[in-house]
Amino acid sequence: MKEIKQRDFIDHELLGRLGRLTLEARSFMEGGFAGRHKSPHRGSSVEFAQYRKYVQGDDIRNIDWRIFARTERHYVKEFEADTNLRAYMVFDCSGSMGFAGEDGTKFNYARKMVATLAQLLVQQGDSVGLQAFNDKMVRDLPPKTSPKHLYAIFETLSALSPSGKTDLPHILHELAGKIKRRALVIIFSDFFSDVDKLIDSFSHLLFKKHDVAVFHILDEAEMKFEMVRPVRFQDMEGGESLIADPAMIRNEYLQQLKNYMKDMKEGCLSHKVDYRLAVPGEGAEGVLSDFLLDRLRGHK
Amino acid sequence: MTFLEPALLAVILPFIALPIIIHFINRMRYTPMDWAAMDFLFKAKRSSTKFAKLREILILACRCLAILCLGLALARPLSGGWLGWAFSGSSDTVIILLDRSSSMGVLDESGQKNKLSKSISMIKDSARSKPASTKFVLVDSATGKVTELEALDALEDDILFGVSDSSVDMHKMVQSSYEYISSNNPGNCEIWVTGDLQQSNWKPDNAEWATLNADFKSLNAKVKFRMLALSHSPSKNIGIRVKDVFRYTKNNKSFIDIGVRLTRNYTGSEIVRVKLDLNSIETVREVEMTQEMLDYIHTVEIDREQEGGFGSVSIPKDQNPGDNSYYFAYGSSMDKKTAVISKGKYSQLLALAAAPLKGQSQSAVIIDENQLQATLSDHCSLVIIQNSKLSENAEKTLLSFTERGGQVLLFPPLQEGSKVLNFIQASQVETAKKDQDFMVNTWDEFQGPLAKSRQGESLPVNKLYITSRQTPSISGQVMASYKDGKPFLSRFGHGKGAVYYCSSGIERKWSDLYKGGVLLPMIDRLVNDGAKQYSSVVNESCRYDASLDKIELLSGDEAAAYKSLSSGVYKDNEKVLVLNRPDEEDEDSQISEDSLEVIFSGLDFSMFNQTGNDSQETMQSELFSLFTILILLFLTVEGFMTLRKPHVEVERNS
Repeated sequence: MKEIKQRDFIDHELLGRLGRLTLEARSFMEGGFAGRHKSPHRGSSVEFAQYRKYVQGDDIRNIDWRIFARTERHYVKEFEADTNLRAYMVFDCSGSMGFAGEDGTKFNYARKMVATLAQLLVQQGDSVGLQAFNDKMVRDLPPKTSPKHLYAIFETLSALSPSGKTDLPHILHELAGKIKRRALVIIFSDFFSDVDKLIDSFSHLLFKKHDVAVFHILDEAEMKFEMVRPVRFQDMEGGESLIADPAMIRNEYLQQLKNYMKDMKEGCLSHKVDYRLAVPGEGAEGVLSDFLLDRLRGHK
Repeated sequence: MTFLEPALLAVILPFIALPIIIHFINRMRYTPMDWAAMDFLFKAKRSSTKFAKLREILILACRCLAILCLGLALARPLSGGWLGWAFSGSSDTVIILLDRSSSMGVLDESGQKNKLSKSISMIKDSARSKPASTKFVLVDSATGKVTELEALDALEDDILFGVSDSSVDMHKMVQSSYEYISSNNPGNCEIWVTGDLQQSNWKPDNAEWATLNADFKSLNAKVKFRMLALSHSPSKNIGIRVKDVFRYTKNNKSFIDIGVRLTRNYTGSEIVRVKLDLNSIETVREVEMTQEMLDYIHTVEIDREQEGGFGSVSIPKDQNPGDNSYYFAYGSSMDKKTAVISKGKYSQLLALAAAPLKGQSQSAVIIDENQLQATLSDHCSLVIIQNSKLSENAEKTLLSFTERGGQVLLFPPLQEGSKVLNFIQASQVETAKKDQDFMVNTWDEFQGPLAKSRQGESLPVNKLYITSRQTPSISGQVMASYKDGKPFLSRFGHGKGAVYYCSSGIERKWSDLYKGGVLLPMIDRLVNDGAKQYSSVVNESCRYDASLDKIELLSGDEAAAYKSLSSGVYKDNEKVLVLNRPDEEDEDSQISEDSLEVIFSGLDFSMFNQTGNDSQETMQSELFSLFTILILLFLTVEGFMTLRKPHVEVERNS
């Protein structure tokens, strides 16, 4: 008998509150099974799509004989195809995600969101995979629908810890090349990389007709920078350290951060990437429910 | 800039580096912190370096300057006021011109310190910061002595250097300092001039100031003049003096009339208690003052056989104790003789005017100039000359007479253009047009032959009907003048006496002087003035005279170091000498700063004028408050730069 582990990143109450919502794709999906999401292909659902001329090779069972009787021409009646969604949870496990503010680490916060969304997707019959990375792919669980797979994802999440450098653009390009069918790619990261390269990698995913959503994880402390005494800043990804008086560089730091966030947000919106700023201090529920509701309403 | 507590400054100065030390210690005591957004930090540090370092330097500078100001404030810097500039630069010799005149006795509002003691304490404080090698030389206003001082503490000897009853001649003092410098070659000098800026002390119209100014400019030594003026006046002051003492006999009884003058610098009705000490008998009289000046007569009956006496009048002490008392003395009654040199019927009239009552002590004789020598030697007080031309010898005799104290009264006509008695050169005779007589509208009612009567009544000078006049081309001291400004009565002082010239005659064709309303009192006063030369009482102003040091004190300050500088009554051989403060010490007018600039033009001169009653400590606190303000200013700037809120805010809405 398997031991049931208590995992702090699974919030059952949160799941209960979000359980009535569904995660909708903003574009056609290519799943392996029938599902609730629109497919780019014609299928056998009850919803009529169009008529087209019969071509050799078409199943003669799809010929509309009534049209033939009226026109003596062979037309095939096509219906919309519904499929399931294949979601890739791209999770940043680099050292910078280990930054801890007053409300815990960014890593734990992102992990909680990954677990919650994964459970929601499996509950609604979609496939979900987990791609954990730092400067390389650390774990790569392809999307599957089964609860057993969800358990594997949880196991993997609980085994992860933040470490190493990050190279997200490279990982995303690699992923774009690897994912063959249209999918929902949800990225959880602090995105401390070159914005232009990031937007390039998002474009690559979009070019492959994937629906891309990003959760930009930033801590309150990183956005306020309110330290008073001189600090020796130690790079969490193993780089150089820096001794500085925060009061002296506060304005310049905040200006840099502001410019970066503006570029990031505008780059995402201009490429129709679903951008969400997620701050650990504000909890996961707000940002996730906004994410789900906006998609239901078709806003983003 | 110099300091009263330089040692304290030396202790505090090293602490200026404290903020810098703390800054570096703080930088070493950093807190380690894991940080994710390192790229932003590196970029921020690179771009903020220039301005942040400037800001950091400014913050440190503000902190250091605040400590520096604290140190400076505690060290009592002397950067302003008298002490500040008195200490600026170094000099080999400091010559102190110390004004010890009567008016320097004016007390401050607290009544604790007079102007002189305040001057001395400021000088002492200033001198403390001078190098030990500095030589201090004192020029004493009272004695005129120039003394090299061993220690400035000697100035605190109230007997030797207290307030005197004398006046001061500032020109003479500055002249003494010049003579000291030119004869002793003392190196670079500062001359510290103290005083209360009394106009009479300075006499800015004295032409010799220009000569002295040129003398100083020709000196090789560098000389700086530093003036400490204590020009504040007492808010309420009443002064008393005796105008004259007149002894007379009436109904076989002897009396003296003591003419008292009270003056004050404020208005309003007030009862003043005047104490009369006459021959050691004290009486108090209350008089009501309604104006700024009051003249009244204190009449006292005395023993007919008494040869003379003395006493004083005094009022309660106020802020200026120097003018609260006055000494007087009187002698035995004596005959007063007048000689009239006149041709014509008006000689009798003049003789009658000089001795109006028979049987009294006054007599008059009509003489010609051949009898002049003999008459003058017989206790003659006044010579009246009318309608007579004098020989050269007679003029010499008369000048000798006036030099001893005799009075001469001269009436026209005189020969046009010729000089009479060395002083008077008459112009041509002017005759008034019909119904346009020469009216006298201005005359001295306070002193001289046309002064008010003892009862305070004015003489009817403006009612004189004058139809002809012969005014002098050189006017002398004008005692009365016509409407057009030309002199009616001129005084030409000579020795102890004077020659008076009345520009209108007593004959009917000249004026109605013959009626006597003006003529009688005028001659009477001149007779009394002339008689003073024979009196056993001599009234003088206090001024240093070493020969008087051994005279006998009858009434006054026994502790005075120099009798000639202290008011009182003294016995000097057969005469009674009455010494009082000079008249000019009661004057309020002050020399203007412009006049001082003229006197010291082209010389290194600066003045500190303490117009209020504030003490030296007040001046120091002003400096202290300046540095306190600077401390607050630096700390405010430092706080603004340190505690300013970030002006950049990261937008949160996604």
